[in-house]
Amino acid sequence: MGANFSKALNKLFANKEMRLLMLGLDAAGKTTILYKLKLNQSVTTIPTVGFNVETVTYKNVKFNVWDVGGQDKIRPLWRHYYTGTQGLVFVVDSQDRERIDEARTELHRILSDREMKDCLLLVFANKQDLPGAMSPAEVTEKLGLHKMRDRSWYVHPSCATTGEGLFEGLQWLSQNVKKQRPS
Amino acid sequence: MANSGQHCAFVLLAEFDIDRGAQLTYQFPQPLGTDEGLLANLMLPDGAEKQLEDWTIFFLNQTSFNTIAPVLALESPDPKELNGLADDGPELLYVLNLVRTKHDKTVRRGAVVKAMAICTRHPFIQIFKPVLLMALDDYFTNPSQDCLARLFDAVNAMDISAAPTLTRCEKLIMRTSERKDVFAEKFAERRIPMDIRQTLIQHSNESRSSIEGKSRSRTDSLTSQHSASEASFSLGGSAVWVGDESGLENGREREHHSPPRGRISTDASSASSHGVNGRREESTATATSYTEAQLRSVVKDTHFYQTSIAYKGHTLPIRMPLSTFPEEVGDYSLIQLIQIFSAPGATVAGPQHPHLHTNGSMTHPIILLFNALVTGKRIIFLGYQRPAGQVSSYVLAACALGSGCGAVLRGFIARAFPYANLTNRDEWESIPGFIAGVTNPIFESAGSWDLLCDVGTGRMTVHKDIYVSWPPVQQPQASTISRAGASRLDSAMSSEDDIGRTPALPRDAPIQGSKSDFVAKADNADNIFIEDVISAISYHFGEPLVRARFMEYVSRFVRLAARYEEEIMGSTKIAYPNSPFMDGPNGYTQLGSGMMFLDEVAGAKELAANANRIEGWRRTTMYEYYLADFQTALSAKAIQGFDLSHQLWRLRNAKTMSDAEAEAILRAIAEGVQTYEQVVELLASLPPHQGGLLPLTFGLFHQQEQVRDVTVELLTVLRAFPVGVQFLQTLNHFHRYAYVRQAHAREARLFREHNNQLYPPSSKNSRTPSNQSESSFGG
Repeated sequence: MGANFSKALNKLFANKEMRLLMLGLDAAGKTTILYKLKLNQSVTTIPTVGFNVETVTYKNVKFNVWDVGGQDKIRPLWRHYYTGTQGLVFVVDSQDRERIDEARTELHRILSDREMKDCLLLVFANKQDLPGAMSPAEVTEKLGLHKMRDRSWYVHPSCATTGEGLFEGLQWLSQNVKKQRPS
Repeated sequence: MANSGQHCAFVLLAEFDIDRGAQLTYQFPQPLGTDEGLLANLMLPDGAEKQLEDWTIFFLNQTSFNTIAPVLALESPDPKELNGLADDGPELLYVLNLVRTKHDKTVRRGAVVKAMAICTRHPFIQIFKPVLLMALDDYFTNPSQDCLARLFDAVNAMDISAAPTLTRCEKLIMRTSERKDVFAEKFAERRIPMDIRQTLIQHSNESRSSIEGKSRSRTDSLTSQHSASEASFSLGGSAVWVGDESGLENGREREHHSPPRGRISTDASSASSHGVNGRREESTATATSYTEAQLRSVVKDTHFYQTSIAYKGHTLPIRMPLSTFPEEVGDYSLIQLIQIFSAPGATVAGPQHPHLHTNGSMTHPIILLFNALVTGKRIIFLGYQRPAGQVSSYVLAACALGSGCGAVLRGFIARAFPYANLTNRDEWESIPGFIAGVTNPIFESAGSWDLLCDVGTGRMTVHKDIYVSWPPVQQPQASTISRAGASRLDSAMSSEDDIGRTPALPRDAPIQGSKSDFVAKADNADNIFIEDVISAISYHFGEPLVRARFMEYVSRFVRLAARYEEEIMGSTKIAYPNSPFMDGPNGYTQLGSGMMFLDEVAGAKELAANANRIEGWRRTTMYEYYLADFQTALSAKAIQGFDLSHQLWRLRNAKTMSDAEAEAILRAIAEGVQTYEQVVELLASLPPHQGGLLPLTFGLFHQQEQVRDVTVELLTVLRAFPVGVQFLQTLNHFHRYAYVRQAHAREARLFREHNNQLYPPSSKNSRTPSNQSESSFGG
């Protein structure tokens, strides 16, 4: 409801606003991505106990990015952030092959929530600088994204510490947000 | 307090596991039997990793979802300390939690976040901060359950058995007294060694009983005294109560013989009384002075009980507050709360609601918050990127604000969640009228609140759906009221153009309307009150005064509500019925009672302006609690038979008062106030910032001798108690001298009358023409 209202406003004014929720397993690099986007600096992060929220403006779009801690005991809290989310940024540690299945399970659980049924999905195949990192294609396959027919999704390789790939991801989100939910 | 069992019921340790998330590592001495994940998340607040250190506060046993299982582990609850829970419900536990983030390059992911908490039955949880700091340090260096055990034992070894327990009225007096020796005698009864205590108790019993039987024994005790001459008055003069009075009897006799100026040392006073009064036994006199001297060295400030906690070879001093009420948890600050929401940047957004905007767009944010509190609105304090400890303290301050610092209303702490988060939001958000502190801005967009207070910016927002949650309720129709009083109110209202459209007593106009329905007036009583408090704060008056002012504000609100009930419904059960003083034929008089206004028209306007929030309050459980409390107080009060606050209001505010009423009031007070409990109850209604005893002592200058006499009688009763002496000491010299002089004249007269009964009248004992001097005052 609030999102619709702000969308109506967005049509009137040049600046668009988009609410993003950034999730992923612990130590995937969510907070590093957030602050790289916000400050254009590589900050040393420590585990997020609750959440971080920052506003990042890129090409006239104001992204309101919520970054929520990813340890398994606090994942039940993720659902509280779903309402009003237009884009899910799911961050995957591309080097962590052991837990990619766990990541898939979590991703599908998130997307099955009613509140998330219309939101865009951007996957960052993060930590591409590390040796042995999975390729975006491999991540796509392991996450089972090809089976998703009703959703716009996009997988992009990234390296949070250098910032590579991050803005391309935002670019995709800003281009696709207007196509979504004609109401 | 003194007999309560364990200070610390549980110690908890939680840590943020970098792989698993928030988890509860230890519970000592046994598991609480409640959701561990919930406890861990409450102990590790949102954003904990951004604060090096943070305190959070939360409660247990509040509602079904945070009630702990091992009730057997707790002592049987003290019914007085229950906070508005069901009578058979378990006692509320207060949890003080310290969370610390240590950055450490050597560990994986660079930081360690751990939290330790004490669950206690004492609302003054702040006293445990130092020991908790040390214990968590201890745990960081050497993580083991022994740390918890050590903390548990150290806290429970704290000795407060000698702490005096104060009654409600004693607490009220202590709160507004700046004297560091107020109720020092309470310490004397407990602190001193046994042998001396025996003597002292004997002594105090002796003096107390002599006071209770004063009317009988006074004349006897006067037989040994010198005849009171004008010379002795000027000698005693105004210095009579400058010093401390060591004993009650001593004090009474000392007025003739005390040194004219300066502080009287205890030794001097007991020596003088000893020297003059041969009846006093030597041992008692020395015991008194010994204990007093000892007291002064031990008790620095009687507002606190000094004790200590021994932890790992350190002795941590503990100052336990003695005058707080159960609705006052932690070391909250009303001043901070007022300042943040009165700052120039403070704004109020959102729609106006009749319960909340009692003065339209000019409703002060603090009044808005108060209205939301007493009408049971759901309130959130949001502190994004603020320490959780800060939002907790605002929540606790809000509870004090609404409850009149726990002295008037109750039922706030039971629905307060000083630190709340997403973990169990569905549960706490379902509690009617919750007052919660959060650090997560998600609640602003997705919360089910009525009023949101942003502590970062001082912004208050009324929820846009407030009319959905709180639909306007049709109020009693004015036309159905037949009482004269009500029609007076009605006509007074409609005669005022500016309040004609207030939704107070709606006839045809709907309550929910455009902004113009809300009348905003700069001279609204609430606005004047808040301005007054803010200026007091800017003049650096302290927290105790601000608390006292809000206590008065809330108790006035309640009296206003009672008057409103009378006007609208014809009667009230939350106050004495409103009636003026009646002076019938044959000297028959009946004291007034209930809430009065200086100006009935202005009063009717005020009632109309308050009607909505009063109606809102009347539908809450707080109202039911108050009703029950008032009915209990009616029978339990020490001063029975008349409405004391009405009489004091008359003495303070009446523009004209008939001699008959002045006499009736002072006589009723003098007759009703004899015992210690009655004295304390009277003094509790005469706080220093309202002039202390002044409303009474003006009776010393009344033109009627009976009024002056009865005032002297009353003050003489007060003087028999140390706390009464302290109040008398605050009188200005003019009033004090007036009392001393008249008291002596009176005692001399009684002495002569007594002698006249024993001996044949002689010319020497004839009455001094004191009328001469008295009439000059009365004139």
